[in-house]
Amino acid sequence: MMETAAILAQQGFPAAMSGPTLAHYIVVSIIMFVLGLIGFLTRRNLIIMFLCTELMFQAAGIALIAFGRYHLDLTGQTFVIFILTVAAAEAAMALALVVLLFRRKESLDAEEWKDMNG
Amino acid sequence: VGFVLLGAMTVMVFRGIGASSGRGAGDGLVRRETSVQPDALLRDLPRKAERMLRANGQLLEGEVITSIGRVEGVIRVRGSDGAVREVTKAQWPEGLRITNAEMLGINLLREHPGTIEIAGVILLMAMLGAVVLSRKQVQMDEDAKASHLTALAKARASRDPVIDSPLELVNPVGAGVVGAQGAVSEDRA
Repeated sequence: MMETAAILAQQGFPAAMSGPTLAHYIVVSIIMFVLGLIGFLTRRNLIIMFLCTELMFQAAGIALIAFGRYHLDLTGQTFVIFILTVAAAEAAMALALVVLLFRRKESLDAEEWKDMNG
Repeated sequence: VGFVLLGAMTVMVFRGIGASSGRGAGDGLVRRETSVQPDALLRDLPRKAERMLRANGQLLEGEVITSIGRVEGVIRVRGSDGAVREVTKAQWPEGLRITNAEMLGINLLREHPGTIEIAGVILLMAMLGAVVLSRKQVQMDEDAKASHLTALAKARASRDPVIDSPLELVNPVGAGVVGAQGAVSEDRA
């Protein structure tokens, strides 16, 4: 592993995790995920809850990219590209649902929908 | 319509995979694993190598690149008279290396062409679904509307007692809150 890194550095390729290390990225990822989780559990506004799930999503993406870079592998970044695609589709659907629910009850409070027993 | 589109896209998926693997075989490119091999991957960007070598004056008029990185770190150049010379790694221009974005793009297109197509179908379906959902005109539940108006009026009255008649502010029908349900049902009748 070290030999590979030395060869790559010699060729002008940025060294694996020079500067911030894997741990830094993982810490950022964990912080983002926990913030998203707290927001999701404490807030009752549908849009805020949705944004918090997106925050957790991106935290997972950061962790994937960091581990992929750590192993000098592109699969993590490729996977995150597709995750972003799915997140975009999910955002479109979620916002459409929010619009629908708002038209029905004129409110974005999640408590309004407790009769759905989800 | 959605299924027809899906079928067309699926056909495109398989054609895309077939075309890409066929082209790869035709170019004699070996299907590589997804590990990072900057020099080997630079082979996939001959135009960039050519452009940078020309800008650096290492590729003269009439000369063409015949191979990149087949021997590690060597670009073979054939002159107009047919003579072959080598540009070694030490002579390469400063910026002649593959960037992360280029590696990612090559990896995406080479390893996952079908997945890209499927992602396109997913995005299309999501867009259509979102349009269908948000175009639907919702008849607001009248009871819910009345109770909502009552709650709003109460909240406003308790917050701001100066307003004598908060009902006009919050009720577009113009009826009193107490009579809101009655007024609505009259409208319906």
